[in-house]
Amino acid sequence: MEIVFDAVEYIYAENTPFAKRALQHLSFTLPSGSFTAIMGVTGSGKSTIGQLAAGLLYPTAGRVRIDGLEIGRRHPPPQSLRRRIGYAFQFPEHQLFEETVRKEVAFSLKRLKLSPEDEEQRIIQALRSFGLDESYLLRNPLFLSGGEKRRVALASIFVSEPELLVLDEATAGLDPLGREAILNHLARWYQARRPTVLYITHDLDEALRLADTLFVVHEGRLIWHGTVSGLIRRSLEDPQFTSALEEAGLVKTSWQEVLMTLVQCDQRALDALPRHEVEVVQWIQRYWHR
Amino acid sequence: MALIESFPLGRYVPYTSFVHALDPRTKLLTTVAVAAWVFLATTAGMLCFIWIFLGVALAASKIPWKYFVMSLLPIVWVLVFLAIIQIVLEQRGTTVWQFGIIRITDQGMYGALFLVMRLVALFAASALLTLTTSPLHLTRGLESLLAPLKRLGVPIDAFSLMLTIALRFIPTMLDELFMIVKAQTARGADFSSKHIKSRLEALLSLFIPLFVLSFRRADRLALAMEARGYDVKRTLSHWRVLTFRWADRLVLLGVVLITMMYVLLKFYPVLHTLLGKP
Repeated sequence: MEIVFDAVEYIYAENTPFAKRALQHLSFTLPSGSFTAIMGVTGSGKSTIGQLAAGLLYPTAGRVRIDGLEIGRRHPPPQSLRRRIGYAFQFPEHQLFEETVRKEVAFSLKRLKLSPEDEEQRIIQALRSFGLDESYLLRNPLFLSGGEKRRVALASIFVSEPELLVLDEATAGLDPLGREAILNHLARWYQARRPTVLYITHDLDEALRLADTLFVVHEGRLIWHGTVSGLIRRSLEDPQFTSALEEAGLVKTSWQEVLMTLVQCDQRALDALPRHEVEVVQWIQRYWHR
Repeated sequence: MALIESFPLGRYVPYTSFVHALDPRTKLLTTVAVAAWVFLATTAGMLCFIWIFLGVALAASKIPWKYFVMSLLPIVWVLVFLAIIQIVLEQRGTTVWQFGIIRITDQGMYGALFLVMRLVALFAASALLTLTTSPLHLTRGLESLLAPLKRLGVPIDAFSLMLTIALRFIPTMLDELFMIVKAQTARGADFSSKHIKSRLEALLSLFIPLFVLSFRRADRLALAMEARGYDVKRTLSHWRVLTFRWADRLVLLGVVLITMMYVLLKFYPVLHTLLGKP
């Protein structure tokens, strides 16, 4: 599903004393099947971009096109389009409301009119992929722990297999194991289905690990828009760029240092940057152990 | 969703203006007085005067009138509903239009117009109070005004704190509702569906998270207050003591005079006939 932003502006509570400009003159295209990470400090406008891309907000000025369809206050996205979009909010409490985990996950499956057996199978599969077994099916989602709630919320979004997936700080507040499980599942799921993914995060390591393209937003403006390898190359070539990124909240991480060192040693690494430690080892064995 | 963003009750707009600078007690007493005028008003002239008074107060508060008018939109449907009930149920007066058993009379229409004007004035007065007074000042004012009741054992401090918290969290709850609407829309809840069942289901998906979040927040807030040593039985000292200035005295004098005039107009038929009946 292709997303196009053309000179988009967004103002919260427009025409009120509380009006706040969140985005200014934003233009970009997310090709179908791309994995893009949006980064920036709190309040920089990341979530607003995600919500505009998912058709949950309408631009104050400019145009947003989702799968070729222009979205605005006068042309809200039709239900048929909404059904193809999944949005995971930062706080799972905003979406959990059913009495049982089973019903919660089945909520977005209702419209698909599946047979009870197929529905059950998809629910169990979705829960398992986030490390939750069948014993959770009859539990009340409102009384689960924070991490479990997040997993149930994510399972209830992934279960409908959306073509556009917007994840708004999907791993915030999770323990390292829970975070790892979600990231692994997301990477596998993306490889298997190739949906368009918009991943909103504060964590540069997560972005470098998962995304092909990176957006860096600062005060409602896009200060960087390009591939992950482009970012690493530019960081090596232009020290001023690194400080501009730091100003936008992107502090250099040890994983970024590893990638930069690898590229410094061998430019070939830029063609396919390793995603994690195992891939670095494999890369070294492949190219340098001959 | 735009309505949620503009709902004025409980939203304080931190401007510097004559109305903002008034003592919270002055503003509270004036709001109570306006409510009394609304109920004492029996003629169109008396109601129009309240509107003019509120208009002047709005101008003096520097709150943009467009925002203020827009912020009254959430109550439009309540007003329409009440007006229809008034029109349909009032059977006195001459018939203007009749369809089957439904009879609309001139008295019913006047009654509906008066009702709407009264309710808008009441809502506007309370909105103006919360838009120009921070919740903290509002509590302080209320506490000070109700202080005599403390001698009778009424827990005024706890009551004013409850009111502040309620007012303070109206905008937060509206923001939260806005987020929940978006979260459920993203999951396929259809708030504009033609099927009543789907709409009710969609609404249920809003209220449960909203209630759960509100109770959780109340619980956390109570814990946080206890952790910071709040004790309802202890008398708190204040950094800034409320004082009446000349402007407050003048406003209160005016309010007292207007209230006396309204009481006279209401209860003295001689004056009533002089100014004309509706």
